[in-house]
Amino acid sequence: TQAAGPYGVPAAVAPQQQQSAQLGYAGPPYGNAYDQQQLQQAAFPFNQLYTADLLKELPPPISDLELPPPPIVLPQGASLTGKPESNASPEYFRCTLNVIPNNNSLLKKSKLPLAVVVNPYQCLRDEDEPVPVVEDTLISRCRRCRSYINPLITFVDRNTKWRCNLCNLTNDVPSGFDFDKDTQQRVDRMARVELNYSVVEFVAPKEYMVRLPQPLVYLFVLDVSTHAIQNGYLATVARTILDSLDQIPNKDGRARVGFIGVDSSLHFFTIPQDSEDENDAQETSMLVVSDLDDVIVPAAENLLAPLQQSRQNIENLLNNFHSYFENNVNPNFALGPALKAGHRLINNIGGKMIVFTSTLPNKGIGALSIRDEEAHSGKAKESSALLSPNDSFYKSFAVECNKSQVTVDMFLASSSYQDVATLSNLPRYTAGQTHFYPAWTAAREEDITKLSKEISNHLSMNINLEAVLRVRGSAGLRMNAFYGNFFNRSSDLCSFPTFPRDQSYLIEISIDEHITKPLAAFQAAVLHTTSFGERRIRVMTLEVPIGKELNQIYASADQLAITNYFTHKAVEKALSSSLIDAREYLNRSLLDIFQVFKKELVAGNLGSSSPLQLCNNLKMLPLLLHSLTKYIAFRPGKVPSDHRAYALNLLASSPIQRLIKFIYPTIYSLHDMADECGLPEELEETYVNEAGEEVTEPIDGDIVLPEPINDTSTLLAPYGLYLIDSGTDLFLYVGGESVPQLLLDVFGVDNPGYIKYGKSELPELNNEFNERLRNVINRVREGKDRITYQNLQIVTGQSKQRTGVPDRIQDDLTPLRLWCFSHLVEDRVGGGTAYREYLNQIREKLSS
Amino acid sequence: MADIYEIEEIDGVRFNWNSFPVTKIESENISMPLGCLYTPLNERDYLPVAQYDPVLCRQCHAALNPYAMIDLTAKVWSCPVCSSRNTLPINYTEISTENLPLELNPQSSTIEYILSRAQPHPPPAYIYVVDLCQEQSELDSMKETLIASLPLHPPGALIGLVTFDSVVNVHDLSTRTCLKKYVFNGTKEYTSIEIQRQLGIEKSGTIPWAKQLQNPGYNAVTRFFLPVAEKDAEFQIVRAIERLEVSKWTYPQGQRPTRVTGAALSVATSLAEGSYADCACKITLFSAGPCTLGPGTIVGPELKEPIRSHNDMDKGTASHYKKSYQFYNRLAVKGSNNRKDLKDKFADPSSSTTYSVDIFAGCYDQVGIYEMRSLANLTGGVLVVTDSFQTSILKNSFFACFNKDEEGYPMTYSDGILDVLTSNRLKVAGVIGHAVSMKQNGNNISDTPIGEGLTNKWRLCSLTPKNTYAIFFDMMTVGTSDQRSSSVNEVCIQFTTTYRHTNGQMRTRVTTLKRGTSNTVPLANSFDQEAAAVLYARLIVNKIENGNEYSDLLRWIDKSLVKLCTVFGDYSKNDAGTFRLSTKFSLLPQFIYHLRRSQFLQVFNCSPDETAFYHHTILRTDIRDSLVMIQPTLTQFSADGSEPVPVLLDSASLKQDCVLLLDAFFFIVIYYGSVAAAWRDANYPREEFPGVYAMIEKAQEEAASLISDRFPLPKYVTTDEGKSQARFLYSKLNPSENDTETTGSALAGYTASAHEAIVQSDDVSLNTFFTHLSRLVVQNSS
Ligand SMILES: [Zn+2]
Ligand SMILES: [Zn+2]
Repeated sequence: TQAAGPYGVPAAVAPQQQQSAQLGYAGPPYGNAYDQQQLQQAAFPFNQLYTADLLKELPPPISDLELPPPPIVLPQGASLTGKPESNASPEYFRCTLNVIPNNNSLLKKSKLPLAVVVNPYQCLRDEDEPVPVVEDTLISRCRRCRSYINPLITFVDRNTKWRCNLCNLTNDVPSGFDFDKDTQQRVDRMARVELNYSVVEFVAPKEYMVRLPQPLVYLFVLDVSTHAIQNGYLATVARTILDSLDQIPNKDGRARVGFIGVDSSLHFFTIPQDSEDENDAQETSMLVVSDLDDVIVPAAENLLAPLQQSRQNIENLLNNFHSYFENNVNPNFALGPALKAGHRLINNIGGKMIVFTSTLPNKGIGALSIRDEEAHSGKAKESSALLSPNDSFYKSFAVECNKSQVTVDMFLASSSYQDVATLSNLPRYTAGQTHFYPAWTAAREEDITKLSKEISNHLSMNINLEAVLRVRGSAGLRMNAFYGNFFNRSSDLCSFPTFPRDQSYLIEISIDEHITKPLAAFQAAVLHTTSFGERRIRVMTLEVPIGKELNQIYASADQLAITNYFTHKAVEKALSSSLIDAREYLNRSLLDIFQVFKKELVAGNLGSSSPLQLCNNLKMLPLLLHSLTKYIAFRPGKVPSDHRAYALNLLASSPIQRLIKFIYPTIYSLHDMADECGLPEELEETYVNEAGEEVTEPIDGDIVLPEPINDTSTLLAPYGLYLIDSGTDLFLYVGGESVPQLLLDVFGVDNPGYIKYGKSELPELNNEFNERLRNVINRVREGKDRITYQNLQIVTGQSKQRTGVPDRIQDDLTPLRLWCFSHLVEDRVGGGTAYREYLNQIREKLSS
Repeated sequence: MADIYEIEEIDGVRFNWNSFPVTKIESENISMPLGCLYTPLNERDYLPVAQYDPVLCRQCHAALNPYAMIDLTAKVWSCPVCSSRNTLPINYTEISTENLPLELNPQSSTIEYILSRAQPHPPPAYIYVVDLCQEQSELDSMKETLIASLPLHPPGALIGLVTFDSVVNVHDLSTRTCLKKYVFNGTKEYTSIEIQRQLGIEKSGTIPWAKQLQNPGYNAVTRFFLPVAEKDAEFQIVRAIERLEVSKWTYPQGQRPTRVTGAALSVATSLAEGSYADCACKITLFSAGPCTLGPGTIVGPELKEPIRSHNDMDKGTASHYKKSYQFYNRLAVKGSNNRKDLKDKFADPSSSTTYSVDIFAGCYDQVGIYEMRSLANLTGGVLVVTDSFQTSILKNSFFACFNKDEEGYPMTYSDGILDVLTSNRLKVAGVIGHAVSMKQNGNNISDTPIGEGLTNKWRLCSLTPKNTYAIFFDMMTVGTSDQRSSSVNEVCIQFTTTYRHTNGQMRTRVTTLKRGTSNTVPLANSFDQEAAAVLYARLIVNKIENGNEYSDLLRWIDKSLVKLCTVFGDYSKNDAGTFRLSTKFSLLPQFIYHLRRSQFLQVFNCSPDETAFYHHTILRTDIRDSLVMIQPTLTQFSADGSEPVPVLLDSASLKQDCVLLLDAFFFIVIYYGSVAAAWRDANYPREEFPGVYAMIEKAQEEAASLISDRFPLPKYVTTDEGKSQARFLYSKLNPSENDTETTGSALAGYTASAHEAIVQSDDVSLNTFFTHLSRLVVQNSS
């Protein structure tokens, strides 16, 4: 089955005739030979509908999760060059339906959602993700719909005009496309980047700036109350910021940093510039402000220090930071006033407020109280009692921040209740992120490692400033609802004080009129200022065919994007209504799709004995939506509300690849992995040496990972070793009956009773298997696209051979094992049904 | 009875009348309240010092004194104040006429007791409150001055630092790896308790200093007050001062710097309140301009709004004045720590701190001394107003506050309480000086208060051996001469001043006085015209401070003078030419003439700040210097080798070939006549014309010696005849050249009614004034 390809058709744009590079005004028209009228008549192939019998394909073929969505099949000549890069790749910009219904009733009938997923950045750092840049600030946009020229437009009127692929208006081609005024030379317009790539970045001229590019500002708001001292949080954070100063994007040397320490007072710091002359040197001052009702900015300057010019003083401050507060016995934490003060300090510049808390805010505006989890967790009113904001300050303040270009990021690390549900509002509406470290303590090295890595990653992220995202659609398509961490400034403008690199956004689309054209187009544009002070627009253009038939729609549906859509909707339900509603919504949506499919798309219905069928490209959807109901965010029963709220937040902001991992964790079987696994892939690199000869040399590729296995305990052998990647944690599970040699190789002990379980690291042992294991773990952990660093939890299974090991240890393991096994989402976990049972239930419902 | 100057030397006291009126008519005849100028800590040779606590009368608590009748056999003493009989203490049983305890020695009418105490007092605290809105060179100079002042403090002194510009900073002096400051919003007034809470010293104000030292941490001592004598602490204080920077806050063009002086003082006083139990604190404000924001605003930030003048105050258009004055006055009253009467909701009711406030202004313009004057006036602080922090006037005046006694302790003492006890029929009317009423009840208190009255106990938050207080009395007179016998032949007064010495001791100075009444000593013989002139000045300043109109005051003093002259002068009725005054009274008209022309009554040439400064100064000054303020001295230096001679303060004294030295107390002028100036500039060889050099040098030496022991340092002007600076001299001279031609015009404003001022022109000569006076006296007697 593998060889046949998943969908049965070649997954590429139909090849196009090579164009001559030598093009003049008298020559043939550029690129696409087809005009829209022509396209309409031209028959082009849609993806074919293949039906799968889900109950026969058990366990579900999870390798499908790695597949790209059904290809977007555009007719020949739909793009100027015919290059595959002419249409956006799904990592950046994808649609839930790669064939869009031509009218709303067809969409409704399909029961499939129509939405686009925008993921403008793939990596935290620019250097890891080169995107073609249009440097000459010559930007041609449609006069009517303001969309940007792109590879999917057509040139008309002897190539003097271009027809907009979104609204069909013809626009003048700027003369600069063909003639360079500076060099007085004719140029080839087809060399222009924006006509070749659908994902490009324009360097914007002055008109795109509301004001001069502002310096990058990081204002660190640190909990210095007694809790943050006792658990070592403050010391760790200060140390990590110190170690990460070089990571802060500062290509233009303008980045600035500031610090506010918070207990029941606000401790500001004025950091003077470094001075060569010791006698002349000014000292860093700590300014304590305790009037929480009427917070002032306590100094005229130096509260935000230029990272470059004040580097030494900043380092000194961070080195001493903990010592200033080490004897603090103040248990109060005035977060609200600190945020207001911080906002006042940076609101004329904008920037990031990065908040490190270890205490529930309990002073001044925004003071929070512990909510009654005992009474409401797992009950009908959980949403309103525990998951909705407990104080309106946080949302209204966040909106205020957004307006003044301030992002708030939260790093929450407390041993007790933090009210993530309320505090996560700050990042949500300011395009920030909530990072959550339950029961964090500096006494555990693993906790320090995770926190430090994540802070460091966070600081190294090349954020963009003063960004807005606008998505345009061609006629008849309207952007209807927006999901993700930002604030909707106007009906279709999403505002990001800073644009992060590790989040994605979903926009629901409605079909407002009957669409007669064969192709629909979307364009997403992120106008922003780079961290090095350049105004730019990242533009992504996506074109998708229009279909009139339900089977066309189904055959091109993108199950991962659809999962993303349903996830956002379910989160919305969970927060606005109840968790029960959210779960029911997921189940009903899935049932609706099965029903449509059965009724409309399967020939010869055979009653109750009929198979449970869905098209091949959607066959992971039931697994994903069912697993989603078991995820900690929606799972029935008691879940600490901070964990619940954090999980909901993750679902609502993560890019698809991570989202799928949260829903359906990846399990690698390690004890029997193939020989090449855990070692670098052997690749070859060819280059031209100094002598001008072409040389081919072997080089190391990425570490080879084993094929994932299904999330079910039936596949876990009692003697096996498995790695479970939940997207947030890593579990190394070793079966209780593992052979001593395996234990020795992996852990250096021969009895599972002596394995150091729980949050830990694998010991570095001098054997090949141990090294390969560590390679696998590191490979899974690393990623240039994320801030998170996963802790490793070592879990041992039930064992009969624990001689001489106290019983106590076995008892302690139970919660850890339960947690680990909660990721086996095909089983009955989290109070839910097993996947097979679930499918059977659906089949029964369909036939009744 | 001893000479008044001898008494002044021994007891530090001078009365306007040294015998007390007995009848109603006598008390009207003396035409002014009976009072004295008393300098409690008057420096004198051979001051008796007792190393024990005074023996007190069980009835009135008067200290045993030389006027007490001792019955050596019965071992009792009778109190000269209340006449009670008291048993002598057991350890006094051995005394005899040959073996008297110190306080019974006849020389002990004034005696100092060093009180025994179980617990030593905590050391004094000093808070420097520094304005940062100033030029770099000014601040640099101020920092130098502040650092130079540190070694001048008494041993054990604790130093705190508050700075301000748009906000108020309280410096935590304990941190080493950074500078730590607590920052307060300057736009609002916090309660003392709120400020202490924000500083994290809520309980400190009631915890003894030593206890705080033992448990360093979140208390005031060790964080906000460091002992300057300790090397480490001194390093920290110096470091904090050195690191002070000129305010970085910007303000729009056309605006004044944003200064929150009021808030800074409010914070500083609250810090003092929250410092430690029984703290006596000195708050020193260094102000470089007016407060423009928040409580105590003197003038708004807009430069187009001018700072108020006397004219604005008169017309009631000084919009900030009332609020601002009340604010600072409240802070001043708080310093006296008179808990009994604390209606101030901003004060800390549990505090046991007293403080005084010194103000040093370095600014060409006014800084709002006028509004802030209570701070210094009520707490015994000092006011020094200069153009710049770089002037030697400012530096030396500041250092002078640390002038030391023979044992090396600064002579600015703290936490003083003045008690006045009087014998039967004599009541206390009040004090005009740097004192605050402690609202003490008693049976010797007059119903008609003068100055701070309705009490017999005053707080002197800060006091020096130079501080002089005007104390007024009210004699219970009898209706007619026939009832004389029901009155008394003598009165007894005891002043008790308890204070904290900078050496840590608690001391009490007791002055016991006995005076006759008109039953035994004729009033006319007992008059002290110098004391009277100065008491007049104090009364006038007090009346002005309480809002009386200048014209009313002129009328009042004229009327008073006419009355005195009418009663005590020699003349034939309606014959002005026969009017004579005895030597006891003869100088008084002249003093009054000059007082009327002085800065105390002629304010429209001064700014309100200058007026406040003049008033403040005379309210603390002794008779000798006060007289110079009222009637400056003029000395002539000649080139003929003769000794310098005092000359009349008269335009006739201007000589072209002489150098004149004018001492007007607040300024000193060396004036070269045109010929003398030419000689000086000709640079003649010294050998040929030693007289010229001697003339110039003697004048300069004399000026220098005047300046050397004056506080605050006077302005020093050198000028030549006809130069613009010469106006400093001309303005003080009696315009005798006007005598002939202006008689008519001077008369124009004259009316015969004694209720009107004698003359209403500023520019009449002494001669004209005296003519009018004589005419009124001889008419009035009818
Ligand atoms: Zn268009
Ligand atoms: Zn008595």
